Amino acid sequence: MTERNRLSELAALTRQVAKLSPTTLIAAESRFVEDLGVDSLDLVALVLEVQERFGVTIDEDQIGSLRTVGDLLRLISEAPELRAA
Amino acid sequence: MHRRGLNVRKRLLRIVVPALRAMGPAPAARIVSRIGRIEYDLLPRLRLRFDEAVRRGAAHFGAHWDIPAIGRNLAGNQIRWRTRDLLLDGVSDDHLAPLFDVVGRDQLEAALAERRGLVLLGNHFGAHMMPAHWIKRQGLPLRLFMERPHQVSRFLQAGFDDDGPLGQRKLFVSRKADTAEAAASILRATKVLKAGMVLYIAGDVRWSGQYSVATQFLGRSVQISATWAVLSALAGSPVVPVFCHMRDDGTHRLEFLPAFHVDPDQTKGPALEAHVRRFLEEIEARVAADPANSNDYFFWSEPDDPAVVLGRLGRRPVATQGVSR
Repeated sequence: MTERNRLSELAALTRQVAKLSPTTLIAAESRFVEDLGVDSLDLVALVLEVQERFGVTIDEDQIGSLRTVGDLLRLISEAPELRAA
Repeated sequence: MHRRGLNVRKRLLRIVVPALRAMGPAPAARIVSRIGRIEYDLLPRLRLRFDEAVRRGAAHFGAHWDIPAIGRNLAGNQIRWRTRDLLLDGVSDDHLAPLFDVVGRDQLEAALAERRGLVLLGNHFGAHMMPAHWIKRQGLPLRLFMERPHQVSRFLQAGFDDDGPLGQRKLFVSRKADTAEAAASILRATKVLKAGMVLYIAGDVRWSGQYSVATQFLGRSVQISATWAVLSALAGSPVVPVFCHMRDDGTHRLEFLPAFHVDPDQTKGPALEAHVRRFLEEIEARVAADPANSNDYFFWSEPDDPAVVLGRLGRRPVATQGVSR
């Protein structure tokens, strides 16, 4: 899966989990809290979904520094499961 | 209690507790309570505070309580409450058992038998750290989900700095956590539950961050943390409420209530609010039945109340949950 496809899938997941409207623009630079209004519970649900959908494990220690969709995308891309594939 | 007075008491307790321990936990608890009652008898301002607090409680329930008698017992219980589980260090398991009259053990065992972890739902009624101590003494894998408690036994503190994947250290919550850190904290706690462990968390914590519910408690408008219910919903773990009533003879009545579940779709909205309110009603019923075990609640609106102090300082509330005074 290309990085672009991965971003597109992550954006769709974010939209679904945070119940964002179809018109909300979700880009790599979008900030979860300030731009998308995602709360911590949405973020928990999103990380759980991401782990399942992409087959990766995300360490909780890394979540504390998540600010943007791009940050989460980077964690997915750098996950050992995907790097080994 | 004014902060300075509290600090003096804490220091005194730190000196006195090791000596008391030698007497055995039940006699030591009785002596600690007696110290509180003597303070009540000798210090008019303190007596007034306790009586006023009890009077507010009586007014809320429309009860005709014997204010001085309850105030005096409350003064005794409150100081004992502040020793948390410190009197239990060094007590053998054989000597510990008679200190707890355990009710509803079958409820606890049935919930554990589900093997889906367990949210042990505590509160500040009675002896709030004793359930954690007792659980750990049973050899059950226990984690605390709260602010790091300081005045607790060495037995309970062992493992506080464990930094492993399911270690205790990272489960202590901070009042400064932001959204992402709060999410990380919730995920860690969920992982602990999914690993089949017991997670001890209080259900009566005032909170104005995420996962909190606006409600009434003892006649006051409060915002209460709903983190425990969210965790149960996310992990699919049963919730077992626990109460630890302090008895005059220095022993405790440890009561486990029937387990219940929070559905996965109840992490927000009216269903979540109902869970929180139901638990608060359970606490209120106990306060009404035994106001002298209500060591904290009657003093919530006083000037040194942490929630009031934080509000005055304009500090952001914690994002997930905090406990323990």
